Amino acid sequence: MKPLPHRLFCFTYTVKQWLTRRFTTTGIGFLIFLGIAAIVGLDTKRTMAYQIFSFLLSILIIAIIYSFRFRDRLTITRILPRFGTVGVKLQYSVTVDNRTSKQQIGLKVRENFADPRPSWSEFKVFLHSYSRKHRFVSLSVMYYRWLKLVARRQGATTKTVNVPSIPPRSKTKVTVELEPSYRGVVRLTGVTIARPDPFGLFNACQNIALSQSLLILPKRYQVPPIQLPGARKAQSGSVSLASSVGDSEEFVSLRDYRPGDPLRKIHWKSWAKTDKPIVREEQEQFFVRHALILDTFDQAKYSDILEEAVAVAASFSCDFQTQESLLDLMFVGNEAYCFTAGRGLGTTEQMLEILAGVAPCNDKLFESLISTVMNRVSMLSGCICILIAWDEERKKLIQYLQSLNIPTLVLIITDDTSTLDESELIGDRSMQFQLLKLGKIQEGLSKLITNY
Amino acid sequence: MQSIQTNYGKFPPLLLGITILFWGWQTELWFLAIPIALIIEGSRFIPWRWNLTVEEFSQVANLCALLIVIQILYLFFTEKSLQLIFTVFQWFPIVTFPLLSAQFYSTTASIDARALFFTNQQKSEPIPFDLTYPYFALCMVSASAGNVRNVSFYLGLFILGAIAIWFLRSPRFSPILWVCLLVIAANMGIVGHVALHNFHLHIERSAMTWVISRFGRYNHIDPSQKNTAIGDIGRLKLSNNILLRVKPDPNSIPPNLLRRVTYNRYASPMWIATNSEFTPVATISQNNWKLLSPTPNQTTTTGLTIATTFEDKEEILSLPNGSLEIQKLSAEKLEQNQYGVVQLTGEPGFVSYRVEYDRKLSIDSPPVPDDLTIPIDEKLALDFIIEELDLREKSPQEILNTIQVFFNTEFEYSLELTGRRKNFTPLSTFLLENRVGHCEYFATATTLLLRALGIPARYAIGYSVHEFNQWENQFVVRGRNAHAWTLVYIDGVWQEFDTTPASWIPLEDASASSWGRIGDFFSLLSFKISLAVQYLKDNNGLIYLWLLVIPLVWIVIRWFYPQKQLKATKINQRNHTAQYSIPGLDSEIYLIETALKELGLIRNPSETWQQWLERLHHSPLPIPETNLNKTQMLQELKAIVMLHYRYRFDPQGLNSTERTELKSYTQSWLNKYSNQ
Repeated sequence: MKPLPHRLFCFTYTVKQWLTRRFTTTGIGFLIFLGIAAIVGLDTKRTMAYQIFSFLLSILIIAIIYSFRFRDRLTITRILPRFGTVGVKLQYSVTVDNRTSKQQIGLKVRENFADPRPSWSEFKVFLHSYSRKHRFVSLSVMYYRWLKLVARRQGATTKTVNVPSIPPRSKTKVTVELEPSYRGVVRLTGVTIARPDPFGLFNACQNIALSQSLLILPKRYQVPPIQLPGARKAQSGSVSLASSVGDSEEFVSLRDYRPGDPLRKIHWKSWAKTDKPIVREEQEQFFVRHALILDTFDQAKYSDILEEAVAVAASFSCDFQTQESLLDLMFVGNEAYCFTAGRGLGTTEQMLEILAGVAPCNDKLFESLISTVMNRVSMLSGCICILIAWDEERKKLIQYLQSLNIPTLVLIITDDTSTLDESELIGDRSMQFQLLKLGKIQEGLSKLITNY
Repeated sequence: MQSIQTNYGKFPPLLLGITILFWGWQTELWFLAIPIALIIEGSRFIPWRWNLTVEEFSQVANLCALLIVIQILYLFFTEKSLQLIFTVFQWFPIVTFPLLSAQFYSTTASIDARALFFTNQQKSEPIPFDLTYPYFALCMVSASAGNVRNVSFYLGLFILGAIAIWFLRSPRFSPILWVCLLVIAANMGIVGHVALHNFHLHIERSAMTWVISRFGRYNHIDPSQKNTAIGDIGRLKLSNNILLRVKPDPNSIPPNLLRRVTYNRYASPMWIATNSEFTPVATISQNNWKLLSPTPNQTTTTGLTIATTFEDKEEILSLPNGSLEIQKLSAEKLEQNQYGVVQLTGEPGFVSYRVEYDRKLSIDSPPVPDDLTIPIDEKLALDFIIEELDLREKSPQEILNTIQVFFNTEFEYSLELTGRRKNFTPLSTFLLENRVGHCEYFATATTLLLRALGIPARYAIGYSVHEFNQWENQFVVRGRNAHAWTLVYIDGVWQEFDTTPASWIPLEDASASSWGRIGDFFSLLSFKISLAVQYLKDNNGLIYLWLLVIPLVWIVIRWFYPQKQLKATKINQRNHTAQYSIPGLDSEIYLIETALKELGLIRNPSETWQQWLERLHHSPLPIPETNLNKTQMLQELKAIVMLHYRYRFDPQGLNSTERTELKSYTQSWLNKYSNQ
């Protein structure tokens, strides 16, 4: 059985949704007035407020009865973009088609989101994401956190939009503004068309199912143009013209077969001529390749620090000049991922799309990220590490990069700077450290030395 | 010149001022309401505006909060009763006035809602909040705390409320519909608030009965004990509602007093009927009851008809002194106690009964020792009065006359309750100190004075009958005609003795509101309807009321299935094809289809024209020997099909020339190929 607070919150959410969907702003004010009149008029011998209550209630009853009949044939089409970005308002159009033979005046349109209420287990996980000190909570704090989780799962908010008058058998277009608040997928289940009663208090509603979703990309900060020092590195195979898989066909010469050469590099015609295995040799390319290492090892399922880390990663991947260089995004989710963008390989949009779906990794060790980095380290010219903690394992990774003399920018995101030993964070020519405090990320980023 | 900015938002002009005046009227705070209304409405003529920031609004809000606290503290120390809450409500428009005036005289049309809360005003976004509608609602609630118990409040609420919500109505609906719905709502509101009030009274009564039956010593409240307002402070407020209608027989004068209950022991502030025992009243015939009374030798009876509405299953009848017989009264049971109280058990609702009475008789039992007892506390004051008036040696009749004169000349009638002096009982205060009081004081004092002189006396309550209503051509008895008097036992008969100064009647009438006439009209209406219903009931006519169900059902059906839909369903049943008007069904191309069908070329169900043409192109003609040029025929048909498609599916349709083309092409095609 679900615990009482959870059921209470679920019920509150349902009631709140019903109230906001059914009552107009005037209606809500009316309801408050009714409530006050009911309380004041409780003793019918002392005040006349019971007459106010009775009058208001009668108006409300008529308004509610009026909402029973609303079967006009109306259809909705929505043109939704594929992406949105956290914090950037998004506008799209919704077309209302009036299929009736009468003019439709005073309609309102409201988006319905998929039910964002978390299950008890999810809510419990969310509560546990707070530090132990803050975990024992009162019901009101719990409710505040519940609202936060609901907002997070819903991902975006919209406002009710007034529809201009629609003539009989015609359409009209309205612009709906959606405000994304969290990265991830926003699911819209349908649209509610509301028609107020003659008093303008209570809405008759028609729910039109219209499932669509859009991906909300992470929030982005302004990042100064970073020029990481470091030489161009030989890249295995050619990527200048290639897709993400395989080597290029940029031919240089033929040479004798050496054990270990791939079978598909054998030049069969030459073998036939010379009667010994000959292989093709392709041009090796030299250019800059940077790694963007994102630390996702957070025990909590919902963490503001990780959100900021993803936002910082998104800011770098977006502002990085990828025409002439490559950028490898490395992180560990269900498995170790490495995605390369630049020089015609992957696009920034794809990288943002991946970042939109990053989830914390709490079942693997940090070492799995180190091994991913090790595999590619020989090709890297520079590295940007976005860390969400500063412990021995992370220090090990940084020391490893330092030992290879790879220029590295280390960004540590934290909510409490006092626990960090500042002396450890003094950089040198090839290493720059920057602490980013939660809530002051932009200030931290603008302090970055652009060329060192 | 810059035009004056009015900070009303959507609120109708002048309405707020009028509402404030209405509040002043209801709460009698005119001296404050007029300046407030002038300041608010004056904002349209005064061109000064201040540029107020959120902090400044916040300071004004703090001032209002401070005013509320000061007001509550002040009232707490001065009122010392629960009335405090209602006084606080009455004063709300005054204490919140600074905030409203800040809005009206600021450069913004609304205040920033952040100013009302203790939040970080810098961090969040400004929330514009228009105070006019909330202030309007506040004025209404505060006006209700004035508790003026007549129709003026509801009338004001309806008119002002209607104007206020007129501007918020949905443009979708016609104003006539809106007005009709509002009138219905107003009527529902009347029925609702009357029902609410009655429900409240019922709940209160049942709770009281329950508490007394569980913890009290007496089973019934009314016939056995009565809590008086003796010793209370404040002001008695009595209802203006008509409770009884009294119609004396032609050429007879009605009794001055109608008695409900008699009590015989005084325990300040309560009157109690000791050992009250109810015995059933015998019926003479159906609905006719004979009260127990000493059999008179010779009776000269008169009659009168009383109409009233019973709210409970058990009710006490209002009867004149000397009642002998009650006629036309349908009840389960009628009981009578030794003090002449008659209690009825039956269905609540409207009743009209006739009483036969003889003024010279009394149905009450002879005096008992309790009819002479006096509380010790009151003895001193009573003895003092007896000495003052020198009553000891006088005959009973002389005593009555002296007491009557004494109370009429030395005392004043008032509804103001003045309480008592320290170390005095309330009655002693009344007799010796202020000599001002209402009927309960006079009746109690008289009863006890007579007892102190050895004359048995009882305390009776009921109604005074004095208002003759021209409209109704009968006497009406209102809630405020409730009265108390003394029954004195002289010459072997209990006689009524009322010492309350006669000035009480005009005084009570003056306190009635001039709006009362509207209430009277509705009361008369309901009385006439009740009479008609009773007439129908008596003649088994109620069954015809069921006929009203038929139009009601019809209205409900019309409501849910409007006429248009009804017609549509009728046509649908007759002719299904007429259900939709699909464009292009009248296209001539279907003639070609019929022609080809005759040739044995049949279009499959749900096969499109183009698919069909394709199929015809590839399959041989069924009659190979005909000299048809198949390719040319299909080519020409294709052009027609294209036109037809546009006619059938293009939302723009065909223009008139294209439509003629379709027609002519089809015709020429048919002429060319169908005859071959």
